[in-house]
Order: sequence, then C-alpha cells, then structure tokens
Amino acid sequence: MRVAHERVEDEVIAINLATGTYFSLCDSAADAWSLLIDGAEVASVSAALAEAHGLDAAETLMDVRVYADALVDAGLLIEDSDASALPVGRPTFSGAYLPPTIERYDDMEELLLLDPIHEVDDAGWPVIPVQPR
Amino acid sequence: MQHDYQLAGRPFRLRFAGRALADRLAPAFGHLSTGVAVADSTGLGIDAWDRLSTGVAAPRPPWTQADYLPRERINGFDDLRYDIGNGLLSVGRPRGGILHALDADLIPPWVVRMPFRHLLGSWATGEGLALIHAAAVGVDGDCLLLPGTSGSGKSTTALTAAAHGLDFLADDLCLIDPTGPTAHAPYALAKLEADAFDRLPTLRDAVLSTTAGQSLIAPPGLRKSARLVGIAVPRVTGMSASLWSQVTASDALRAMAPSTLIEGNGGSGATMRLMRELGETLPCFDLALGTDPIGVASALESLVAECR
Repeated sequence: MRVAHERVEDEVIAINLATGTYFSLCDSAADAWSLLIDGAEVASVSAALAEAHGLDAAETLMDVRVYADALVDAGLLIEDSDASALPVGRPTFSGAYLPPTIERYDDMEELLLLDPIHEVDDAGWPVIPVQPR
Repeated sequence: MQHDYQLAGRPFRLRFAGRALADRLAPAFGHLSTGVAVADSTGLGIDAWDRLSTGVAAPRPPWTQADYLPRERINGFDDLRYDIGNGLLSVGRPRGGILHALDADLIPPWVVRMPFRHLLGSWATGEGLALIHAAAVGVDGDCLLLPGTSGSGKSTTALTAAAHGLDFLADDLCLIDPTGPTAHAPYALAKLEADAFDRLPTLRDAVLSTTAGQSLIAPPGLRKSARLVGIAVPRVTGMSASLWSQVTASDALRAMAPSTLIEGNGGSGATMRLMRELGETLPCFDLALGTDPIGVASALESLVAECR
C-alpha cells in the first residue's frame, strides 16, 4: 500500500506512505479526487463538476487537468489509459466552486528524513561489539 | 520461557529463548498476564531470541545493502522491520511473528517500553483493531484518545493525568477496538523527560530506570481497558491555563492518521478507515495544554464528563 486516503464530509486526507507527505483535499478537490480514484477520466470529472455547479465544462476542464497533474506529481495518482469516460459517482460538495487544489503537509516527511540508515557490514547483520561486559 | 497474556480479550503468548530477553521485554506486558496458559491457534503469538545469550545467529539476509530503507524497512520485504543500529529484526507472520535481538542489553529504552510494536500493529489490523499513535487517559472506565506526532505532548499529558488520579491507558500507542469503541492498554510502561519531574514530583517514586535524561515509568492508575468516549488533540501552548474547544472529524483524522501510518506500526488502509469512523462517531476536541499540571488534569476530567 503506497497511499492511504479517507474522506470525511468535504475533505479527503491522503497520505503518501513512501514519502511521508500527507495532503488535504477540500470541497471540489475532494469531489474530483473521489471521481478520479473511481476511475473516471479528467474530461468526465470536469463535466461532472461543471454540471453540479452550473458551470460550462470548458471552465472546469483546465482546473481538473492541473489538479490531476498535481496529484500525479505528489505520488497520489498514476495515469490510467483505461479511465472511464463516465464518472461512477456524483459530486457532493454543495458550496461555491473553486478550482480544486492540494494542501500539502511535510512535517512527517521531515521525520522520515531524520531516520538514520546505519552502516552495515558485508554479512548484512551488525556485528556484536567487542567490549568488556 | 513462556508468558501468557490476554490483550483486547484475545489470547497472547510470548515465548523467549532464554531469560536475558525475557527480563528486558516481558515487563511491558505485566498487566496483561493471565498466569495460566490461554493461547490457542487463533491467538497472538510472538517468539523471540537474542544472539548473544543463545549463540544462535539469524540466517544470512537474502537482501542486499542497497535494499535498506528508512523507518526500519527493507525493500521487497513488507513484513519485516530491521533496526540495524540496535540489532533488532522483527518478522511478521500470520497472528504474530518473530523478533531477533543481537544482544538483550543493547535494546534501547523505547523498545523496552513498547516491544514488538510492528508485530502488534499488524496483528491488530488483521483482527479489525488498530494500534493508534496516541495516548489515552480516563475517568471511571471512560477514556479519551490523545493522538499526535512525537513531541506533541502525549506522554507528559498522560502522565500528568495519571499523577493526578486519572486512569492511564497509554502514553504513545493505544490499541483500539471499534466495538464500543474500546481502548486497550498494550503496554504497562511510560516515559517521562527529566524536566517534567519538577511539575510531577510524585512520579519520582514510579521511576524504573533513567537513560539519557529520559525515565522509564510504571504509571500509576494503569487501566487495561476503557470505553472510548472522545478524541482530544493535544498541543503545547506555553500559557498557564488548559483550554479545549470542539474540532471536526477531519482535524482528528489529520492528527491521528499520518503518524499512525507513517511511523510504521503495522497499520493499513483499514486502520485509516477505522480512524475516520472514530472521528465521525466520537466528539473531537482541540486541547490547548497549559503549564499548570492540575489544570491539565482538570481539563481532561471535564472533557471526559463532556463526552459521556
């Protein structure tokens, strides 16, 4: 498992377990995430968001493209050529539409980087130190 | 040497090849002892041996030096944790696992306080439980979960509560059963920094050992399990008074999930789901910790009452 994620109301918390970075995806970002991970393609996600918020799909298409690219860059998503043209679910966020964005938290990543990887010998296991006991 | 316990209502058996390792690691589970053999094939079973006292080394590792990853991980061996600096290898298996130590005396205090945490966490996930990175304290059988990263004040808060008569369940890792939900104390030991004794002088009598300014404590008021009634996310403020205010389930999940999953205690996507459900079903609070220990204990007591 590389990414763990859960949605609580209009926020998704997603954790990249390899890097230690975690993310908050709120409102339209939570909706777009939910649709994308269900396998919907970018165009159909943007269409679903546009319909839910009474917008023109052309207005949301670039937003969702930028957002999806950011999710891929963050290691949360991988591109899938078999993505569905139809979203499985529907957006649920009922507030005003804002372009979906990622809020990034690096404090756990710093903790991971502090973790030392010690030197080992060729046998793989550390040797018992020779010292008076 | 065989030790039989019961954890979260399930049988738990520890077997040590020799006294050296048992003397170091078994005390953390003293509160769970049944005194009689209760383990069966469905229980948690962990076997442990050390190389120095038994003369038995671990087999040559099948990975290369390039496979060592941060957080004790080995590339391609998800069920294994290798703390090279302290000579500790743990291998997860269904319903338990194996620990190999180079030398029982080299085991650091934080492992003595919380042994087998990765094996316990993996087993918990398989049982539908979760080993959450959180302290837990309570009153009369009801308790609060206090999640947070290392250094967020969990241990000191839990021991402050214990020193003022509240129940102590955990200062760093707490086992949660969503049924109830119920919090279980996986360990009987806690830690306290040297400077905290000025504010908590009664805990000097509870010190078992001190290494590099950090003391291993047998916490007063240790309770094996309690009904979980709320989540309070602690933060140190430097102000005198302790204050609390309600926060969202998202805030609680953000405090619980990253450190629980990233610090490598055997959690999974199911653990994340369980934490979300806890946040959604229990009242969640921000707990601004003041410098007055009596005020901290009083705030915790009030919060428990608020959640009942």
